[in-house]
Amino acid sequence: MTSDDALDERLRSLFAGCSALVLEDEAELAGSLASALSRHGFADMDVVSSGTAALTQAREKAYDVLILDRQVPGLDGVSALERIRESGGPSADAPALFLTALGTERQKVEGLAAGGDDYIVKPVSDTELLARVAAMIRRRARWATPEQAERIENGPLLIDSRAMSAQLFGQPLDLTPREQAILQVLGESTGLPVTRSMLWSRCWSDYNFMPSNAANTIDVHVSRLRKKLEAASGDLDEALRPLILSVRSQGLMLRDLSQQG
Amino acid sequence: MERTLSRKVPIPILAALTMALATTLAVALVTLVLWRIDTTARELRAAENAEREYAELVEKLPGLGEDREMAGLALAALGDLGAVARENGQARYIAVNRAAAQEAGWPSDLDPLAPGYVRFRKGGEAYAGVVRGLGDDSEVLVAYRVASIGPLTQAFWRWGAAIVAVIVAITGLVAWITGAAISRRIARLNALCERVGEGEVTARHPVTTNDELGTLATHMNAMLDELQRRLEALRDTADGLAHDLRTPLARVQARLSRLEDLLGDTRSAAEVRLASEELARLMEAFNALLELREIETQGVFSVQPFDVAKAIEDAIELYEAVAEEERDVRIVRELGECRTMGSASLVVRAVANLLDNALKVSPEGATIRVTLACREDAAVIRVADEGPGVVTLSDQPQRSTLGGHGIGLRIVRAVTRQHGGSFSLANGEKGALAELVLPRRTYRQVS
Repeated sequence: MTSDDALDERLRSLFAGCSALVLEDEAELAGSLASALSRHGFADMDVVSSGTAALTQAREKAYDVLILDRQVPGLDGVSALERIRESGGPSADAPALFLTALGTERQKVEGLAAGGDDYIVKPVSDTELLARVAAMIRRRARWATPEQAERIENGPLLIDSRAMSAQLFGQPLDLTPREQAILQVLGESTGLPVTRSMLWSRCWSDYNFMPSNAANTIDVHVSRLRKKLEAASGDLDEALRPLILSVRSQGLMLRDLSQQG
Repeated sequence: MERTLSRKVPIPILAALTMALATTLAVALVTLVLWRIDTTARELRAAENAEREYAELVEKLPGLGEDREMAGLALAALGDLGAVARENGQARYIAVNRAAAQEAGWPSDLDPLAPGYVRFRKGGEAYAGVVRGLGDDSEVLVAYRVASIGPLTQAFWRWGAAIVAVIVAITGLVAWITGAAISRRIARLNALCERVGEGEVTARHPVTTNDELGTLATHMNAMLDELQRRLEALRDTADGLAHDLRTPLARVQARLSRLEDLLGDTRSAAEVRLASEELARLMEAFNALLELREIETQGVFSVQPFDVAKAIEDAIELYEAVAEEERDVRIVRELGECRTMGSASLVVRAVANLLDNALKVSPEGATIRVTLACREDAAVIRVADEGPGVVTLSDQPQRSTLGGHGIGLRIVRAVTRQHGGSFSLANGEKGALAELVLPRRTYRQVS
């Protein structure tokens, strides 16, 4: 599985030297979380089991990522994040991800309103978790340079999120709004896996529920997008096709074409 | 119910009318008593005059006094006097009753008035006076006509009538104002009930008084507190359940994924992957159950005006591409324009579930027909498929198919209930026909 190894390598380089604060009171889960993160390059991980401890840690140290459970002893995860955001401490602006068993619409809204950047409902696979953390870190990095945030350049593929347009080898692509959104999310995480549930929460955000056929719906739209990209691929190296490939069990990935003319 | 709720008189008007009627009755009663007292007083005055007259007569006619010899003469004189007085229509009335042989003018209806006084009616007039015996079975009646109502009394009655009218008017007005105040407070309590009915469980009535309505508000608030407490307890239980179930499932999933990694590219790894997928399906069913509970315990939390056709289009968009690409199924729509109040996202979810079911049973190349008819009172959404139709018309969803038809339809029912509508599933022309009726409400009705 060379492609998976390459993927791990890319994640490791993205996460290299990163630090994470994990708030999780289940020791076993916290352990497996921390090990997954450290296997993929995280250098520094602090695991705490109560909201107050998380607050203290976040006030003292600058973390690259906060991963928070909601149902923990003492201060719950949502209140802890609210306080961290208000505190103005070194981690006040760190991207935060809720990883919790509470998964209703109302609870997700609570989490995002408290300052969460993403919200995952347990149980979650390592792939999903790492993909989401990676996307979050990438997104934060893009925000640092505003002009980059609107234009994604991936070799011959240009995606303009403001104009809602894309072109490949100078040829404009005729995409539906949904396809454009998918391409954008994949483009933001170029070279990194994006799970279907990530695509759903970003590209179908106008729906506040996930229908039972969500995976099929995503696949149909992705396959239509693939066909349009393929049609415009011209004389792209066979080895680089398709542009969007399936990775791991549930992921999709846009190839990094930056080495191509 | 045979008896319908027919009485529709507003409380203020009812109170005003009742109070005015009661006041009128009370005033009438008082007037009657006053009139009796006045009459008696006039009769007594006449009787006293008669008594004085008799005393004067005794002085003038010795036969009426000590001198019994003269009695015959005196009686005769009195008889004449009485006859003259009657002829001239004097106020004075004199009659004699000699040896129990009543002479002309002796009244037949002598009534006792007070001790020593009598009254009677003669020629349509009322008289009051005294009867004195003369020892030899002879009697003398001296009376005076009872005065008619005096000018003062007349003035009193006239002004009294005006005063009574004013009193009745004031009473009515006060009752109307009081009634309106009470009515307003009851209306506020009703509004509260409606808000709670819409799902706003945290709504409370401010308690500012300790009268009956204040007490009612306190009781209602206490009831709502209890309701809210129980709902929250239910929610907490479900949250706890979610935690208790998802956490171990998360551990199992973590172990399976580690095992898959360890096993590499072997048949065992494939088995582990299958187990992972089964676990994911279990989670899906569990999530659907939690979602259903969420819809059922939470009111329509985002009630807003929305475009029903747009909601249906949103739901169709979720299925159209898949239906065409994977099953060659076409989704045909005939959507009229229709707006109502409710939760658009819940309606999208309900229609999506109906489409999901329809697509599952649709044979290759079939058509799913979605229509929206806008009636005056309701939006009617129909989803017709060309599948095998409804085999058994059972109101109870099949509980065995977790995450399948059963729970999907239960979600549709829960959403319908939240909107106060109705849902039915029957056999249509070709396959099953699902009909969702959402009553159209105005903003005023839900706010």
